[in-house]
Amino acid sequence: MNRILRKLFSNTTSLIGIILLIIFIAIAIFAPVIAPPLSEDHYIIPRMSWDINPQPPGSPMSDEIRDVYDYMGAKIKYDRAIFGTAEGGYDIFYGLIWGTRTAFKIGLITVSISMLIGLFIGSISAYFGKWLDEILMRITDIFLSFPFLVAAMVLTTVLGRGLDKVMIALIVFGWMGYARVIRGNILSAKEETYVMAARALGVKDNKIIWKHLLPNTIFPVLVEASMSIGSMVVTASALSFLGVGAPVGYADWGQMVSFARNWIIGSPGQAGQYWYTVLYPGIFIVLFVLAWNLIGDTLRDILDPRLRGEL
Amino acid sequence: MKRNFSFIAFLCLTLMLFTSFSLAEIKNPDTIIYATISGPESMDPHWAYDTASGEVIYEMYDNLIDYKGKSTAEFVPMLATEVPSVENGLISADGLTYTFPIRKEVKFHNGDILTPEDVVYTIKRALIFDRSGGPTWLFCEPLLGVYGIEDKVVEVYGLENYSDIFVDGDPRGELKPEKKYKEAMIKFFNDYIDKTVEVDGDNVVFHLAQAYAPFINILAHSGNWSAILDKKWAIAQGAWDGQADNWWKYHDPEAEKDPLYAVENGTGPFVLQKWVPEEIVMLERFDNYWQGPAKIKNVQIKYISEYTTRKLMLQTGDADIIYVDLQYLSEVEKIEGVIVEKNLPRLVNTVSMFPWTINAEGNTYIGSGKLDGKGIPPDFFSDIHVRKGFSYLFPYDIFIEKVAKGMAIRNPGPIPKGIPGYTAAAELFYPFSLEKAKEEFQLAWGGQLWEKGCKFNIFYNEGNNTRKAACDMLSTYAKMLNPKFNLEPIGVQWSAYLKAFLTEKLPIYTIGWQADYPDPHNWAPVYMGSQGDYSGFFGEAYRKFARENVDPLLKEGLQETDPVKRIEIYKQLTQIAHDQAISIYAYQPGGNHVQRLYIGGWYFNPIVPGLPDGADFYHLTKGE
Amino acid sequence: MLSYIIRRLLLLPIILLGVTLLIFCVFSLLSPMERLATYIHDPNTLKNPQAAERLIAKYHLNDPFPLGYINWLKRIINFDLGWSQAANQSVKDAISQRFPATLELVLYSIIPVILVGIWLGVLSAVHHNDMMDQTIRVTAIIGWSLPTFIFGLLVLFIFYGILGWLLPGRLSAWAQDIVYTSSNFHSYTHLITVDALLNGNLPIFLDALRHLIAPIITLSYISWAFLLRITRSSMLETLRKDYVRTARAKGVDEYTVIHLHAQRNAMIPVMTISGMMIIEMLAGVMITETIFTYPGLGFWTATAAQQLDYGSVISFALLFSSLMVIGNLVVDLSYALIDPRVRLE
Repeated sequence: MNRILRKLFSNTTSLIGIILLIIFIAIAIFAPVIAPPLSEDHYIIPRMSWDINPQPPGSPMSDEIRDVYDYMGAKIKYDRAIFGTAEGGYDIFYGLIWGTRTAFKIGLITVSISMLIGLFIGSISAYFGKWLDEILMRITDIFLSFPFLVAAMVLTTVLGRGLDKVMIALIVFGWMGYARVIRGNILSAKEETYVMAARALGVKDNKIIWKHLLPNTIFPVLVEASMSIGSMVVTASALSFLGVGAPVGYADWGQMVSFARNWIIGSPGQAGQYWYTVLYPGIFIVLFVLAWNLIGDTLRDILDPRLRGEL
Repeated sequence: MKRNFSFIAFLCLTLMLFTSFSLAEIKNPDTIIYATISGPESMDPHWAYDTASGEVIYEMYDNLIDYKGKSTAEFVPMLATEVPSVENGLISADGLTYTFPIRKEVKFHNGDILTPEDVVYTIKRALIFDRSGGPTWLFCEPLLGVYGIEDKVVEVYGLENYSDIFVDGDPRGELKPEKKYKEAMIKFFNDYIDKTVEVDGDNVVFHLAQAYAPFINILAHSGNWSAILDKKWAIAQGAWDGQADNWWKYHDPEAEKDPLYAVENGTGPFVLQKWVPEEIVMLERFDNYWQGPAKIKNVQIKYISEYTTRKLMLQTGDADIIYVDLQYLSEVEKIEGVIVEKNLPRLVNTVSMFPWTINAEGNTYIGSGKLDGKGIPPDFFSDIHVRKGFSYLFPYDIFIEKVAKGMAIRNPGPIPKGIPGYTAAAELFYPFSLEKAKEEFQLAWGGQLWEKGCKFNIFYNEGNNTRKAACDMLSTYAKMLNPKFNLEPIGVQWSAYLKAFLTEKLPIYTIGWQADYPDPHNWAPVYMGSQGDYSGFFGEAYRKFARENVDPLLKEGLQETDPVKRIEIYKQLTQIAHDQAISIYAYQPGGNHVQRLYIGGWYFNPIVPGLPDGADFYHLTKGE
Repeated sequence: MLSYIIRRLLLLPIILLGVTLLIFCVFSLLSPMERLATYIHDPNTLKNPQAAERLIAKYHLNDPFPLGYINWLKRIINFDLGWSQAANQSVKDAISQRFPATLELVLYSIIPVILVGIWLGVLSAVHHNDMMDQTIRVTAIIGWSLPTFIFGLLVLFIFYGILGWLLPGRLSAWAQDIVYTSSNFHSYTHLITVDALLNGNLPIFLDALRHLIAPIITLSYISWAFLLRITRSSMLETLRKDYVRTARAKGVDEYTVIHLHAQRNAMIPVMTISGMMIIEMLAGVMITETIFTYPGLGFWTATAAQQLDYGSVISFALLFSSLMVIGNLVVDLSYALIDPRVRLE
């Protein structure tokens, strides 16, 4: 473990990734301080104006909205759209800051739950073998042969919009990889002598799985899982872009990009007039995923047994 | 060696590609290209009930009469040689008989000549075809007095359901084998359908079941449902064979079984060259058009759902006319060589409804279901002070200015501007006034509402950001007025919306209506009648109120033949809409038209399908 | 060997059945009224209070789950795939119309993916851990991190918006005229570039190619990064092999060692992966086709899913699943054929 951490920190690419990740974590934790919420539900992006056209960075809050807050006696803690507003007057800055929390939520929850499901299915399938293995693996094949984006899209369309529905869709169609990997590892580990010895001694099955097999085979799965956090976030934002996913006005990065979709070309002669609607959300998404990928790429190299001793 | 060769080949290909970029002055000079969002459902005039189909059928088929230029109130003859009226005697004094002399020497696209027999066949086929969710109810109402032919069968024979007379209750299957069923159905045809319209020499005569002021509108060229088919050709394609003895087999088929779904044979100025669904419609000029051939040889309508792509096509001249959403209009105006007509008076409006009784069964949208601050009771909106309160609460002008970018107007009631019966009397408009709203809410439910507050959801259809803004505004100002008023806007998908709508579970919901024809009978019943498309779902309390107070006026208005008296009746209805604060009549959006400068001949008539975004291609020219 | 093949082939219908059952289950979560929404886009059209009921009966939306599923299966077996509301045509027509378009796009996209991916992968492995390797790896990772839709929009913006070189859609108006309506143009394969060449029509060939460039760039973008990684690790492993060391010791020049000996053998896993990638791409086209309004299967499926047109979605899923399973089988078999060590298992 120590060796791995040392290698990660010494390699430039992974170091950059780690730094980026730390910045994102900081943003997520300090979101209420960086972008103080203006309503009870913190994830609803406040509108800076009712205007449909996106407003450029630095625009002040429009008068009607200001009046509303004054009337209600709510303290306006900030009243400028630092990154500008998206279509409909939604503050981009707020959306991105709180979107960081959403991104972590999506990534961590979907990956951990789908990993758990995958581990469960894969390990009992591998350990008990025979017909249980056959059935479970066929079920896995069925889920696998379903094109992921289509499946996620269908499920979210049926379940309706909402972040929880997106996560359900990602989990339901995301556990198969883990199941396969752990099954493969356990199948080979099963033949190891220490397992046979434990069996001969009469140790209970689940104890064998828990205490012996899993700890020795789980590590690559964990690595794989942590690397998928980034891609889960991208998939979620792709779903938002396609029109399913987080509801309009919710602080989610994909949402913010989908706002930008029709303004990306801008007016003729002023192509790129609405650059901020795409650039800021785009940067966040790319850097977030980049962070995970940089770390992951190096991690894979470190763990690849064939390269052991080379790094 | 190999590598160098492939590299050179790659270079050559790239060079060829770039040299193929020719930049003509006006691209495709004999084709007008219109880019819009979604494509037609069907080419069958009796199936189609959507604008995309309507605008294509409009170009390929003719009707008996047409609107005169830009007018929605004056008619000119088309396939008929005279427009019937009481004055020229072609409409009987009791309004039940209409006579149309039919034009001679009009050719269909395949060369057949139009006869009165074609007209009669078309109308009867429409009645028989009557697909669920289709437009043919527009004929059933005047000619049979009901909304659909199945209802007439049920009424005449006292059945429970139309499907009862079929084996396994499947109306698309076989009739029950006993002879009496087949005989009854044949008799039905002879007694009712056959009598609605007949040939009389060179004329076609209609026999209505009730006096129906807008009957001429229904037949006019703008409604695809009254396009005239070629009987011989239709029968050859497999449509109804014109006989009485198996008409039910041609009733309400599934889309894939409709023989006229993808083919056409009209008398109109354009022929369908090719239709690739959801991709393109290619029309070619019909040189033997009886009014003279169109000025442009080809028309292509392309279906491109991405706005950015359409905009780019307009910029590069790959499209001559495009559909643009309101919010992007300011972008498009700046493109060189493009002209934008704004704020064209469209016959649509958007209304927020208050159902008087909400279905409380398993309904999460009304919170606790009681007046305890955590929900609303199912009959919440039956209290007139509640309705009036919300009517004063909506920020009409801010909405029109900011969200509709100034391109909309207010209506005082369900009838929009441009339809006879519209009134702009100032006292009929609810002003945006927080004081007045407060007054009303304080009176509501004996003062309990103001004290305890309320909590419920207000709805918009997912993806419609304008309606979302309307809901957000209502919610914001409600909260501002009284912090205990929690109106939570939620966007639901169309499927969930439809279900909630049909089961009467929605509290406040915002929805729109588009004219089938420019007459108040197409508007007032929808929003106010006891069987209205919308108001019919306001709950039993409203339906009772409507039956007593609204329906009689609606019937009077429908059957009144004196136009001046009619307008008075509809004004009365608007007064009722105001006094009862039945709904928030949010706005009537203006339309816009975006095209390149070199397209000539475009004019706006709000009832022509596809306009203002599209065009009546018959009159258009390209270049010079 | 034979029994292995047979066993795998027998599994195919079971898996397909499972897929259809899965999708059907998902759509059963909707009540009949919600499913009605596929057919009704506007409450306008429900003139009659009974209209909703009639429509539900007409389209059998009320059928209990087993009955509905069995009815649907019966139709599928007769190759009646039903009607696509989203496409306004029968599903069979919708697929046969769009499949060539997607196929054309995917086939062309494979070329840059393989060329660039392999070339860079080899380069990266050969220069393991030094500057070039790091740069290539980082570029690949950045490529991986940029979501397709953002990249696609940028491509659209730059190449169409600013430069005006590349156009969305499949063909320009004049070319479309000829292909669709001219009697001189014969569509043999429905792959427009191929047909254009077969008809000897160079301008149409170039026009079609021009429309393909931007989607190809977008579609291949993510894939070459993936292929690069596989090539790289495979190459690294191969370069460590004894026979490579022997060749070097024998004095063979570095170029020959790398390209003749190592690369050939390293390509084995790469080739098998490429096969799978083609099939994966068929699924990845959804976003690319949507952005460039390219009239292929992906675009249609995206629209259908949004409109709850489950008939279309199921059909696409079936098509894709079949390809996946067959593709998997072919890949496994070819792997066994190429690598003699595998055969013994």
